[in-house]
Amino acid sequence: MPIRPRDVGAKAEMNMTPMIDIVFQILIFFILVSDLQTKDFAQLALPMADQAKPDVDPPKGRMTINVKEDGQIILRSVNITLDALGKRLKAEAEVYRDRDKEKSDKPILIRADRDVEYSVVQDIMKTCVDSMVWKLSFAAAKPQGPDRDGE
Amino acid sequence: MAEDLRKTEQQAEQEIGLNLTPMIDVVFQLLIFFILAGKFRVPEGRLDAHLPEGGPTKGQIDKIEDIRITLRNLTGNNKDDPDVLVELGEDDYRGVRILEKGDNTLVTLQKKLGNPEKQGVVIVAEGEIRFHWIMKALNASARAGFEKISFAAPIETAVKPGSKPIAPLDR
Repeated sequence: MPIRPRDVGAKAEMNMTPMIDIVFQILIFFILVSDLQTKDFAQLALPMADQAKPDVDPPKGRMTINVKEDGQIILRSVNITLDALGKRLKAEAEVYRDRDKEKSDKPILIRADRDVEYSVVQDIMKTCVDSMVWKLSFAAAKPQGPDRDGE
Repeated sequence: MAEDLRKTEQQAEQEIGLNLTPMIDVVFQLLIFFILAGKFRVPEGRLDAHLPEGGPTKGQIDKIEDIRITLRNLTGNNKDDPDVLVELGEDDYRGVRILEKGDNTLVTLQKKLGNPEKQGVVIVAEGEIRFHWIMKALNASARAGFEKISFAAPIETAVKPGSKPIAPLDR
């Protein structure tokens, strides 16, 4: 009587567990490092400034105004005109207005391309002044390297 | 009977395995998506500034107690080559080097200020100037230790009446 080996029907399978572990690690890495909060931040070439403070703890409710090289103003990924920006600023600044003062404490961050003409930024600043907003910050890229101040 | 029993034993010996192939497919799809769509953000910082409370006025720039940094486009076509003039009272200095790292002009001027807490820097610039020059002036002021940095009205209206005309930059 021929002896049949017991494992003749078993399939030869690759152990997928280490690969799945590594693929999940890579996936989690990319999910965490890829910036999913970029709605406020348009792709711009920011000016360099070695004195720029790290923007680690932005004030609550800060409005971010992006200005592209061609002068387009972008608010929350949407192109916006200066007039519309002014209306928006006035409406939102009301919430932050001091009781005793006319001016508003609403913080504004202007992220302007390094090559945009200053007049565009100036117009935005004037709109801020008209809306009684005075608390302003400019975004800048931190130079990489120990002895550079950018540009 | 014996045949049926053997078949049942063989089936019991086979491992009950989860089919991982669809999950691996999906995970790879997600991985490729995040690799392609993900962009690494350049570390960003911010420079704070204050806007004039009363709006842009000529009076604000007439205050002689502030250091005034004026950026003008005198070369016409080249908007990326501004003339930089730094003034405090009767003292004036000219040249883009003032805004560079390692230049002590602004630090020296700050020491001349009587009341550094109330006095500061006012940046005045023509609208044609590229924005990174404004940031250079802001950065240089912050580097010199100024806390009160403000912006004046557009240069067409803000230039001080009777002030001496700015000659082309000699570098």
